[in-house]
Amino acid sequence: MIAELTVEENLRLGGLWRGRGAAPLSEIYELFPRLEERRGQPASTLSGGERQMLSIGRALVGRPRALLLDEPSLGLAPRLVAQLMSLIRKLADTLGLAVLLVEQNARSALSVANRGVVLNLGRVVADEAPERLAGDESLRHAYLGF
Amino acid sequence: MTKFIDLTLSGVSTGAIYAAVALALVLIWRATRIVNFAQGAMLMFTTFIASAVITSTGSYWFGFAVALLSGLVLGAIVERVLIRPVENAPALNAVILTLGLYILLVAVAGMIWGNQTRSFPSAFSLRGFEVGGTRLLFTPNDVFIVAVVIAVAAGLALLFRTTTLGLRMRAAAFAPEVARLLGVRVGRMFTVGWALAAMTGSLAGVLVAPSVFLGPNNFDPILITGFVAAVLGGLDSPPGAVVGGLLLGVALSYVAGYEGSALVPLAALVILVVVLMIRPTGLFSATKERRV
Repeated sequence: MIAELTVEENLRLGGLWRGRGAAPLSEIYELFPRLEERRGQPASTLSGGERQMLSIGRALVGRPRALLLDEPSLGLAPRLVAQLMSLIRKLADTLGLAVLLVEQNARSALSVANRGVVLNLGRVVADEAPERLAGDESLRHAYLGF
Repeated sequence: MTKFIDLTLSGVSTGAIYAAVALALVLIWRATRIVNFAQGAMLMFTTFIASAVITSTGSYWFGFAVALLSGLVLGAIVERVLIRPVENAPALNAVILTLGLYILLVAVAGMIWGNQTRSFPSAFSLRGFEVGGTRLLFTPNDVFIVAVVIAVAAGLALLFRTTTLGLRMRAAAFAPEVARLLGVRVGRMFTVGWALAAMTGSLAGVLVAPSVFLGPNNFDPILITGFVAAVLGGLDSPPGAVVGGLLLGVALSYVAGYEGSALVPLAALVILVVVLMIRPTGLFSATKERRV
């Protein structure tokens, strides 16, 4: 997000490339009521969790078919991480989005994913359903950190 | 009392011109992080074009319009041809380029129109208003200067705040890489920014020319005071540029009126030094917080 622009301006920016096909901001505010409360504030005044909501909201304005998220939980409190992961799952289910989630917080990511791929030094070491990844103790200890 | 009123009003009028130059500098700084040292030469050149048009057509307003239009075109050409190739180079490259452009424009203006100073017509009467039997120094032309600069500043503010083009321009200025990823044609936005800034500078040129007269080097002091006004208001703040220009105009008017015009350049530099010492980011800059 662009810190100097307001919440609403950041969201509008996300839909410019789509033109008339962009989602109305009312849809985004329905998903993220907190953003509507802060629509006129500069994005720099948002908390970490709100900034992530704004980033995701801006991406959704463009009505994407796939969402690529790069460590969205970075720097967030554990309670917010849980909320964020739940939100990502909800978006994938309700909007039919394909979500590619890159996360170091493997436990949280696996709790909402349909499939998990573990990479080590650029190589795939595991590509399984999340229950099987989480159930593999040696894999968990070696690569997932829990 | 009359003298104080005279100095204040004429300071506002001169300050409006400083504000226009400062606004041009700030627009370019915000967009491309370049101080345009050729701004004075650019507005001089377009004022010469306006003078030629006025002389040949007899129409001040046609010349006025041509000055603004040529400012738009000149700004766009300078950005596209000179600045764009060095946008990823060290900042010093762009500084040297603008200094070179200044030298080029002054030389070319001298070759085309000669180095002799000439007069430039004003838009309206230079006869001061009469109030209660006292003739003020403030003239209808001064009213026009203040009104048109405020109108242009307000117009630019509306453009940036309420239009999609303005949103794209601000996004390109604040975060060009993010803006590119969101489909903004950043290069094109920089060109538009330079064009609008140069047009604003051209406006200052035609407004100040009646008092400083027209010559290749006559507009250099305007660039200096415009720069001081921009620093005073905050290089990142267009409203600050306008307020800084007006405040500086009034301050320098008092210096000229009470202490003598010879002290005006010194006073401008003293104000610059004081601002840089006390609030280097300018009066209207936003405080940037830092995450720790």
